[in-house]
Amino acid sequence: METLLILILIIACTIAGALTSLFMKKASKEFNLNIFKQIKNKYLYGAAIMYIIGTVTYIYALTLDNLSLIYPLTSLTYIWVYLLSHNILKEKISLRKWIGMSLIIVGIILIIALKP
Amino acid sequence: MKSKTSKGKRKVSGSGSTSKPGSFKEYLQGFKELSHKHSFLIFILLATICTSFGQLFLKLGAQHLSVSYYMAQSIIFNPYLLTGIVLYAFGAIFLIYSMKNVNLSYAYPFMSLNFMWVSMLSYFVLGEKIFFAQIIGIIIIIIGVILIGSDKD
Repeated sequence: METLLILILIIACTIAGALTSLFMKKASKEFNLNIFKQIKNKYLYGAAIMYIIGTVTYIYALTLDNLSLIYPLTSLTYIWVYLLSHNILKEKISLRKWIGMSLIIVGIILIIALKP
Repeated sequence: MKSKTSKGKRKVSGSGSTSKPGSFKEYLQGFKELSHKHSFLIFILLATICTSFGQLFLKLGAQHLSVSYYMAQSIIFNPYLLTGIVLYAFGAIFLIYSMKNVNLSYAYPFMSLNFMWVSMLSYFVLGEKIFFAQIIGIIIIIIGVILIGSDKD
């Protein structure tokens, strides 16, 4: 049961982390050092909210299990980032990246499934 | 023939067009390139160490948290969590500095050092137990991150 909760929290925190990157990428197009103009930059608010959600869920996950177990699971962020940039920003994913992504998933399943 | 080879050498060393081979200027140029490489290594090491210590402090902060309705309040006033977040910010600054002179695809695989530092810190500082499958899993994840990060596309 606790493993399931950890998994849900990690998925939530990594999706939020990937969305933070996506919003930052979108915000960077209209970004400059004029702070008053940035008040209108909607994507920055999105990035900030996603960052807060990601941090809170990650800290909640840290209260449940060891750091050495939780931290490697955050590499799931890479997979969401590439899937999001593939679907929304229409960036292409090479074979090498697909292999890397599947290796990350294998590693995560190994850690979660064989957790004592 | 001789002049051709010396020209080729000059191109390889990447020095300016005015400096003669073996001159002090060329020596300085070579030193600059070397220091760029070294500054990259130093900055990326600092970035990974800061990020990993940031993780350590986040965990310490989480240990001092009581999950309740006051969680938001206890997150904001928790000195460990604040230290962790500040270290995280320093890690990001060092990462940006390290990427100044090299490509992202060269810099990113070094970030998988984080997994190693965090495992070592949680083993030696927090006294956590690490099981065998976990080590294998972390190694597989590191290989995956290196494969993704080193891709030039």
